[in-house]
Amino acid sequence: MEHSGKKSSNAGTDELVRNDKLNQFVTFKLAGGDYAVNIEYVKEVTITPKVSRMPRTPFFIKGVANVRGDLIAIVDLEERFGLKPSSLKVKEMSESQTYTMVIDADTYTIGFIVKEMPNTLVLNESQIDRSADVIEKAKFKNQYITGLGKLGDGNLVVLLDILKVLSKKEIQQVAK
Amino acid sequence: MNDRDKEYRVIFLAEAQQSYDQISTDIVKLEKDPGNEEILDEIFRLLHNMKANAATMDLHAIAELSHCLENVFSSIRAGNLVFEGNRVNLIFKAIDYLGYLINNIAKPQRQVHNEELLNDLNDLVTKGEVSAGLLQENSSSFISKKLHLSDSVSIPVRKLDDLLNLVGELIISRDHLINFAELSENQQMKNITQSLSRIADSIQETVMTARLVTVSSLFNKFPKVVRDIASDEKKKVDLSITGADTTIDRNVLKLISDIMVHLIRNAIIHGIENPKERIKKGKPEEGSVEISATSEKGLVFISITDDGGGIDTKAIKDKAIKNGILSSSRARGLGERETLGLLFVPGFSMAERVTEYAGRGVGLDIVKSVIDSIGGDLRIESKVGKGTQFIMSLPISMAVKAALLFKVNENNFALPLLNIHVVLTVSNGMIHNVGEVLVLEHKDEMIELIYLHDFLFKEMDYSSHINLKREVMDVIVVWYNNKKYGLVVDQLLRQQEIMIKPLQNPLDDNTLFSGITLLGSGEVCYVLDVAGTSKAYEQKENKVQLH
Repeated sequence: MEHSGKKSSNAGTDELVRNDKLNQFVTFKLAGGDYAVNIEYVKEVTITPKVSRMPRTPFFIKGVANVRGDLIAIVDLEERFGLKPSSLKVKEMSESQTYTMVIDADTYTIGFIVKEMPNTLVLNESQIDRSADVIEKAKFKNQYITGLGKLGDGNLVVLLDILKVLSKKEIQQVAK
Repeated sequence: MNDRDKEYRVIFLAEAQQSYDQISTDIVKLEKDPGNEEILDEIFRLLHNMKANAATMDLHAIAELSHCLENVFSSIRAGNLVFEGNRVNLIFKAIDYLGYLINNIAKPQRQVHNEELLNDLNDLVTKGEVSAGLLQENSSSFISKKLHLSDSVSIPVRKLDDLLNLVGELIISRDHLINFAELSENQQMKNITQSLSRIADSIQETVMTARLVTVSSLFNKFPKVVRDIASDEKKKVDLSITGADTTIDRNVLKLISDIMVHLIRNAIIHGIENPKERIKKGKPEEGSVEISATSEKGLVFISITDDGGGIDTKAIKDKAIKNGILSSSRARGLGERETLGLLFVPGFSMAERVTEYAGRGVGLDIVKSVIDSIGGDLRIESKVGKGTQFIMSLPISMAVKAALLFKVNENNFALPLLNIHVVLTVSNGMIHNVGEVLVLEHKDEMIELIYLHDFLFKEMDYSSHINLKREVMDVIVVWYNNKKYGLVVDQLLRQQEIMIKPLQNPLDDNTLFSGITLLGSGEVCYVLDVAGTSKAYEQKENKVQLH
């Protein structure tokens, strides 16, 4: 609740002082593509601890891990977004080291597995395209994409509304 | 004076001091605002309670004085007396004396009536005036100049809950440290760990006991409940209560209070026959309801027994078939206990008559689900013509539970001991494959088996085909809905106290588990929910039948 409130007030000031507003993100790679989430939700990034599989959970939930005494659910976003077949994943993960981004979502904490060390990224409003046709179309289907960020090297980064990715409705839909 | 009396005295003293402080504050307010009815009501209420409590504690001086003061305030409330002038002084003086009596509760020689004061107060009520002379002296000799602060504090249950959660974390850390120390070669490390672990144990013990209350605080309300229902139903019922001094976590007691009233209503309305019928059956005219509480190994058992008509299992079957809950072929194979378990199926009610107290659809299914929610169990035993018994087994505490740990597919699981009936080691030959169902023959009983390895980890198709390579298997037999299930585990580990953390989003849709816990080794352990597991298993069974 608090976060979404903050967000809308940010959007209000964006219009007044366009281009000056700086947005801080944490970026990470999923199946080769760049994605980013607002930095305020990222509690920490850690080397993925041992994940204990929880029976009868949706396929993209890898299980539960102990991060500094907190027991949190670990989600594979690549599988969540259907970016690659899930059967290949398990073996690879145990063999190579991955990172877990710990996300603090108001009432609960959750971890996302990413392959490469995430980075921080600062974008000003002019570098963010929130209205592109592509996003509009994507938004219709996937409510959790908030915009596209343009990087200096011409690459694009997909900005995610992390709370929406995790909403109950979303999770239940994907689980089916 | 025995321990119980001492305990009650402490409670009375704490309450009385609190009330006294409140009354003192209130009358100062009242002096400034004599017509304030809210304050008057508050004072009246406090005095009334104090009178009643003091009387039960045999503190007659306090009771008598409170009584006189209550009369005075009753007159003020009624408008016969105005709170002003020298009346105020008299009342202040009386309340000061009340405070003196309360603070000297432990000294019987000081518990004396102040006749002069009582007479004045009575005069005030009857004549509406006080003789002016004797109230001139300002300071009263019996008031100690020292301010007295209470020896006990009242703590919101919320804070105790927080404290208990922290204790749970402490225990996890302790287990962690113990594991670590065992691996270490350092003797000093081991010693320190040992003493730390002793301290952690006693902290846990203390916090748990601080939350315990005797069930009598609930049971004491039942005589009236029984009397009221019985007289509405025109039945004669004798209530006997045993084990009222059994202690249980306050939150557990709160949760079961409505359930117990419901079960008592059921017993009187549907169980006990009316006096004529009873005489015809050769039973005493007066029906009996027995409520008993006992505790054993961290569990509390509460039973409600009536000597009424009992439950006719044939009628249950007929109704279940009529409602489409059961197929008639399956009904035939159902044992007596399992049939009684049908009463817990949502929407199933045997009441044929709607009364004020029962039969409105709030059936046993709700009772059952409340008990499930705290990890307890409810069982029914019934004999037609003889009576019915409901037995609740409840955890003494909600968060920390004794549990049995085991492994399935290299993962750790725990099952609260409360849900476990017995643990068996069985050989392959004792297990039979009946259709699609695996059944264990044990002491002339057929127990359906759930092979957890397949059940938990074969997501799509978990038809139970036990890995026949294993000659001997460990089976945990659990109770649910009056039915026994055998859970086949890969490896039994040990018994231990665990602190259960509830599942959070996105895992909280999973009904198979009631929570997770962290083991001392730092490993995650899932706490299996017997209700969820057996429901999921039954659903699977139904699916099989459809094909």
